Amino acid sequence: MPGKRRDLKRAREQLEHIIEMCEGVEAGGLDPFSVPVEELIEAIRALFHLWEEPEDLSLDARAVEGISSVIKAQSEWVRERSTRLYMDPFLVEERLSALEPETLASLFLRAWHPVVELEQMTPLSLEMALKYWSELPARGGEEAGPEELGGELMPIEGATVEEERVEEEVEALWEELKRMARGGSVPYWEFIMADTYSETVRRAYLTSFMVSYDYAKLEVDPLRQELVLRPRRKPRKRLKEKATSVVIPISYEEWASHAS
Amino acid sequence: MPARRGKAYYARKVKKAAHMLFFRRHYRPGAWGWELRKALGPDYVRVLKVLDGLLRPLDLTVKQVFELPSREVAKEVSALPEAPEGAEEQEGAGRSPDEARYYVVLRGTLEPTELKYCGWRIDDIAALAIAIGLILARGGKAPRADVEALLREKLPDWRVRAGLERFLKSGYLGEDEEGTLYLGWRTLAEVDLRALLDLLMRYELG
Repeated sequence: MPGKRRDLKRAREQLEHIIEMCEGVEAGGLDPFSVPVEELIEAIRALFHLWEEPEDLSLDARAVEGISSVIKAQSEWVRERSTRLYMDPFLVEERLSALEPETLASLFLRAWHPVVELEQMTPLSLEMALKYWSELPARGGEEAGPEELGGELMPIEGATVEEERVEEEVEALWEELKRMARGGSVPYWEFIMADTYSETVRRAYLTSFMVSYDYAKLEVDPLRQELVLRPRRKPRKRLKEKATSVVIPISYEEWASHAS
Repeated sequence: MPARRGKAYYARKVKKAAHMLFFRRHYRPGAWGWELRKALGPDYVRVLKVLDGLLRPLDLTVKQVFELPSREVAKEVSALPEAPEGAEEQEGAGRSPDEARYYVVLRGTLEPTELKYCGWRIDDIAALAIAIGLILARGGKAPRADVEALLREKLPDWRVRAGLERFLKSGYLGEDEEGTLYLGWRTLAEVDLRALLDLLMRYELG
């Protein structure tokens, strides 16, 4: 009797092992073709005469179901590769290594259709430039240059901001942006808007540093046609040639229209 | 009463479309669909078709590009769903034309002897083919170090570095914060990626 119990225990373990293997294939962790389906079916059949208890029969049924899922995965694998233009990444890399530069270039030329573009002024670009300049707010009053102030800039108390403090504030604002964006982006105006005009200007000022120091990206949402801020996971050093300037006027009227 | 849209109506719009697509206004050539809609009106796709017809004898065409993430592009290119023979490929099916960017590109291809007119050397083109091919093979993204290593098998070190910088600067490749390279906007606009892979796979090695 103890010998039979031992056999039963071993047989159950064998079935559980088969079920685990099949579940591994279903989860995508195992290649479906690495499972010896025929051998497993034979093993399940050989153990069948041992089962008397309903639990054992249920285990047997689960093992058969697992095998059927492996066969299904195998057939899907074959179907995918036979009905689609399947590209084997390893094969592509092998080809790239094996081909001579001249051959690679001639193959590339057969798939290359360069963009045709011209760089010069047009009536349209002139019109756009004129529109841009005419929409810029006029500079209020006459401003005295350094020359008129005797060639020296006048230091005004409180008018300078310590660099460390700006960095601290920019980082705090960056954290706030990351919280608001939740992995996405936030409309620019929504982000800088505050209860007062002066606070909004302050936030816009710090935001400009945030973008310049590359803590965040300023982009145009093509669908909504509005500026959005997208925080970076960590600030990075930006190449000088990639830098562009964006002018965003923040007049009191603009602020009021967004506040209303 | 529906507005009558005659030759003059389209001629004016086609001219404007040509200006917008040919002349580089910002750092990139071409124009977004929503920009064209704003400038040309809701029938801008029809205007572009007229322009495309006029460009045909010059071996040029208007190309619509949906700028999908690099991984998605690689997936689409490497595993093309089966289509009935003769069926026209529906690029960007289900997407609004406003979301696409439009460029004027060469309808045909260049001969190797014509490369010098574009300021490219055979080596540069080979390096670009390798970089794009490797990124596609890796599913749309590849570590810069891996691309450099493969390029060094064929080109001197200085040319590898200079080449990659040029590809990044001109928009053929992009690089993220982790130093991973992906397909840039210009590759999506200019390279028939499916054809490139097909050519690479079908070429008979000697």
